[in-house]
Amino acid sequence: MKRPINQTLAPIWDFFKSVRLTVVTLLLLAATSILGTVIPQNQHPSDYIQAFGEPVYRLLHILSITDMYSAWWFLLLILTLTVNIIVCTVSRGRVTLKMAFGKGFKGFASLPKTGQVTVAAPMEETKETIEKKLGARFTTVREVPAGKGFTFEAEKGRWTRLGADVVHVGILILLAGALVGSLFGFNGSVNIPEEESISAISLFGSGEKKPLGFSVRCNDFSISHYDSGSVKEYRSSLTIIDGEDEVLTQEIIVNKPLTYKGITFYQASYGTLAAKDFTFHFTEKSSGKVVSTPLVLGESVTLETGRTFTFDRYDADYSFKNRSVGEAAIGTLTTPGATPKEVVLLSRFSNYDKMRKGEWLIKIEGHGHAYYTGLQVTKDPGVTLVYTGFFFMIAGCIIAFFMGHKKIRIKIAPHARGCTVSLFGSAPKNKRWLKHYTAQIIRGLSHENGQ
Amino acid sequence: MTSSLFISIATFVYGLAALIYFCAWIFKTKKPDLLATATAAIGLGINTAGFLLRWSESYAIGIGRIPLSNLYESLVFYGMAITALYLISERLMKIRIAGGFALAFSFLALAYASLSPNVGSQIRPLMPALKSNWLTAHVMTCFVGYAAFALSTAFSLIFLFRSEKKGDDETAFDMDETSHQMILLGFLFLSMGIITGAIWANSAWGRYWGWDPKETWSLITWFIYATLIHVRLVRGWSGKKTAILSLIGFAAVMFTYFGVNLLPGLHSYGA
Ligand code: HEM
Repeated sequence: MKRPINQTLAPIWDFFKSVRLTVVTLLLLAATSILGTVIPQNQHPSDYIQAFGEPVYRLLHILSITDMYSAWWFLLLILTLTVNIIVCTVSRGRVTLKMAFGKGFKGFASLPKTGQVTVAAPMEETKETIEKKLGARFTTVREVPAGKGFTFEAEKGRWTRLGADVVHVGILILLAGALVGSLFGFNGSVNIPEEESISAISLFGSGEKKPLGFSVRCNDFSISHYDSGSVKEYRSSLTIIDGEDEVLTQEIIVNKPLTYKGITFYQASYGTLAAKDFTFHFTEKSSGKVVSTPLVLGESVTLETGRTFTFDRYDADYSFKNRSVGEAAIGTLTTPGATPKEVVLLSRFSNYDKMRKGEWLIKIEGHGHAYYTGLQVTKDPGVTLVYTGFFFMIAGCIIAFFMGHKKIRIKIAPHARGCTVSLFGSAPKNKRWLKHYTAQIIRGLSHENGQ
Repeated sequence: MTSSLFISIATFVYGLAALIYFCAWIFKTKKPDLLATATAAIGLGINTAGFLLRWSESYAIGIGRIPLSNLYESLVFYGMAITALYLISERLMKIRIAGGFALAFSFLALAYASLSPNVGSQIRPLMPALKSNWLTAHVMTCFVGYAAFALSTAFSLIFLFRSEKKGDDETAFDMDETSHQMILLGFLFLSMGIITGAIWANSAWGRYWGWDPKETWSLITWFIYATLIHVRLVRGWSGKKTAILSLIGFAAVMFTYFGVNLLPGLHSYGA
């Protein structure tokens, strides 16, 4: 496209066309991005005030440096780059397309000379050798009329001129995907206790509740460990319930999320709600008699001597003499004719009950845990575009960097002893190749003629 | 752990190779050429053996994973990538002159891995987020890219030293051009590294980009090299100006690799 005719638009067009603007914008993006890594982003105001003091924090806040990657001036830089790429691509567009797909063999008359050699072989023979050599390397070779001698022109990879445009279009597609994602997507989290379901999540940032339009049940959550004790895997079994139907049940682990109706559930965290499935162990001191029984909260067991133990409550973090001693089951032991007594049983210290010096020694024999699974929930309808952009960028780089347009022109002119061969050429992406190819041809010709 | 013994030996061999290359360069002699290349190749063999052995050791202790997940392992792979890429380019381009700097980089990578006290060489199991083929692709592409940038730096350094002393134009042309080729290779692999990293982050955390310092620094590096490519291609810069830009780009690579851990952030697996 030519420059717009409109006089007022022309300077703006030229401004956005220039690669100088690209360089300035890229360097500004780099410089400002550094700022965002030096100053931690999105912290609580009090953290900044503590680190930098009140006045500096004010300044950072006014300039949006505390959340700079979504600040207007940072987005403006990205917008500038976007407009720059569009204008640049469009204004070069026609020339690029012509160069890539139009008539070939353009600008061969002015190719720079890369080498010359005089050989003893007759012109016809040299001509044949050169024709064969060019044919083996180039997709299009032609002979052009040239007075008393011969001239050959060859070229290859003209379409690779589009490589840079493929990269640039890839960047545009990627940015479009990012925009779609930020306009129509969301990002939030939800905790689901085992065997329960949810139908809304809370959004990051605002904390706002967002209904999903269906519900998700956590059937089961589990953790497995390595022998060393560090975590190997978190796994949740989820069921999607849409309307009345259980439409989908799937296990998710970190890196293997579940997606339903464009909404993706990632395993992000977990937590312990309470212990469950308690088994208690009773030993009668006098006889050594042992009773072992599972109890749920509120349930009682009556021992042979008429005593009754009731499991009253569970404490995830019991404290004894102001020290945290971990999980505890707390119950009441009722002896006929005496006041009921509170009994504390610790899951970590099984002999804790000995201190009570009672007739029966009570222990927690074992218990399980009820977990909740912590899910990150996102919807990003822009991801496909972003990934398409990725693909274009990589493909474009490969084309632009390693395939390059190559042109060669070889002139054979009569000489008193044999003939003179002159080589001309250009390969902007591969200057070393051009040098070596020239040398190789010259070497080949000299060799065959025993010089 | 025998793999770390292999790495120590490889460090020594790389140091020796660098020395031979430097001697050949300084005394302008071609005699030790074969010896230098052979030493570098032997170093690469030992380095690779150490890498593979560590891989099999991880199976022996029941963890079983490719050794690419902490600073030590990434340095071992980095040394391997630099030497391999250098030897390939030496063979293709038939220029040995940058060998001293290239092998010095491999040497430094391995020396840092084996000597530095804060680089743990123990094989540890992976935390769940790191179990992904995208992570393997991410680390490999990043480090091949970093290796290409290290080589471009080696060529740029030679270029700068040469041009001061009015070295022959032939070498200057070769250094300038080869440095640029390495930057293009590095830019391609850095792009692939950033992209595979984004895809991995998306599969693990539901976002492909989060502006954490490591991500941001890799993008800064990418911006710098994109600038270099444009000034060279469109504005016709070359020689000293682009050589200096290439050194700045490599400084950004090094900061992305080592410096980011000094900044506040999450990306703490050192890879
Ligand atoms: C982050 C942004 C950008 C990236 C990553 C990028 C990347 C590239 C790449 C990889 C090439 C190919 C280089 C080669 O062929 O060796 C290139 C070439 C080019 N770029 Fe960009 N570019 C960006 C922005 C821009 C912008 C905004 C403009 C607009 C002025 C621009 C103008 C050009 C031009 C004119 C070429 C040369 C094309 C040719 O000679 O065939 N670039 N760019």
